[in-house]
Amino acid sequence: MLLGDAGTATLLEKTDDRCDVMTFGGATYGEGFRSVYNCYGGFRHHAAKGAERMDDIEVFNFILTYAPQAIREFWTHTGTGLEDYDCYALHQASLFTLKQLSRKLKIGMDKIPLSLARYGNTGPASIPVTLVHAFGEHAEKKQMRTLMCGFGVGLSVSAASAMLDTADILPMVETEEYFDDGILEGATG
Amino acid sequence: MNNAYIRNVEYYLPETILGNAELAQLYPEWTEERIVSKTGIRTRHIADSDETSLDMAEKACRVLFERSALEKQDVDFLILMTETPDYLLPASACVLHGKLDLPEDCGAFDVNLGCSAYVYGLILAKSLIVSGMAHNVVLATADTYTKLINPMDKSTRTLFGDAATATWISDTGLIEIGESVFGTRGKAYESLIVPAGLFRTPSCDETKVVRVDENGYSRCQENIFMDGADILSFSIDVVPKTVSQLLKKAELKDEDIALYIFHQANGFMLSYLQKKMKINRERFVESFSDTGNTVSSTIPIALKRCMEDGKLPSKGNIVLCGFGVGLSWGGVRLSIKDGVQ
Repeated sequence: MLLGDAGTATLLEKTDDRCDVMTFGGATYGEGFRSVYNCYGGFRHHAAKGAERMDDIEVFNFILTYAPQAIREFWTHTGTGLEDYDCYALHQASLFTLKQLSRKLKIGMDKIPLSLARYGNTGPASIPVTLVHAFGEHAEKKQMRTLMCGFGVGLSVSAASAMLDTADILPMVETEEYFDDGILEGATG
Repeated sequence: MNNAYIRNVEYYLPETILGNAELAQLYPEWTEERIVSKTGIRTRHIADSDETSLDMAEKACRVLFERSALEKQDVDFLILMTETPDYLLPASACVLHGKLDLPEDCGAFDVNLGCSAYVYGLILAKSLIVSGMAHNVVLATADTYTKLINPMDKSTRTLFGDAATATWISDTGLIEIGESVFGTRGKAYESLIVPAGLFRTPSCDETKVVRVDENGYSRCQENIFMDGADILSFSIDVVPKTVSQLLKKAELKDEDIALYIFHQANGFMLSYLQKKMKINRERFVESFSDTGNTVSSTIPIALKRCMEDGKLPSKGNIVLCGFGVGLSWGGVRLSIKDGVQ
């Protein structure tokens, strides 16, 4: 019910403009890895096939503890604060989680764009998918101070900021194209 | 600007050893002597059935912490280079982070590269340090190709072994990570591949059918396939080019290089490269006869052995070059300041 599929591409360029891009405050929480994982298909449990496992309560606790901490540390580290960002592009874990983060950090929901209702939680793609969903069709050009924060499988959390120009955020592309490597048809040797 | 330095390298080899006598029994048309003369390899270390890349990386990292002045709370990033992770998700680096009791403000991630992995890893670590995001990075490599090899595929079983390494990279030190060059030949990805078993072609009855190819090598589509001739011609094409691009970028000449440490693919390929590039034997490192080709770990193992054997120059330049699965390659210059060893 929660997860969706998507792919994204971001172009990063070196510029002379001053911008606090990619200042990093990462945290990894390796002991909690059992909370979100797929135990089959890798080399630890090779043979069997099983479903992805997600311990909702533990992940929820993790997010509500570490994501606000990462964002606060990020503010402190960069000498910025709540009001210095026009947009908080957060990983789209669930609407409830995002509302809790908004409440804990006192970030108005008007600053937190959402893409969940349309695309679900698209995992690593969810932050760029959200930016595309919110601003991809925007006609007007707008400079936007953006703070991004991702959290989840690992368990792992990180934050980064960037000055984004909405004119650079392109519309969503929906496609059914795929690549056929012919492995099964060409099964000769 | 900060610089980045290799502070220490450690490695782990699994206990089980596979020798040529055992292989010659399986492949009656190949003798022990023939295997040595074709590959230069006498033994390979093989991970146990329940021993994974993560287990081996953990052992290598524990040795690194034991033998280095690196405190766990000072590690800013843990990078694991592996193509054989424990889980589809999460990244094995995250699990390893927990097993090693690293601090929570330490980033951790995996990178899926093989024979070029170590050079990529060094430059990722350097980038994190030079940009001011890290003071100390632990770079681990670990692969268990032997779990993907069909026992009756002579072409790969005679070559590959399992291993893991751990390298401490820091903003202070004596072995500086210098210029680098990278390349990819993505269109040739099919030359070294496990064709099926993941999302492109999920595992099914057909992908498990073992077939014998025109050379008499057996494998199914969930096993490693290597087109040895393609990989050989790829390597002898890109390695000399990569080294000359690197020397040009570093404004150095061949005589300025004290040691060349290439990916230890196999004896045949290395001696071909050594002759083609006219590098004299004293400066050309060969370190694979007891381990086989350990993929992401060959360069750090060879580097560590040079350190232990006193082969590192007290001052001068070392060229590392990794090349293989992807197809992917990378070269990097290390420069040793006065005073090491």
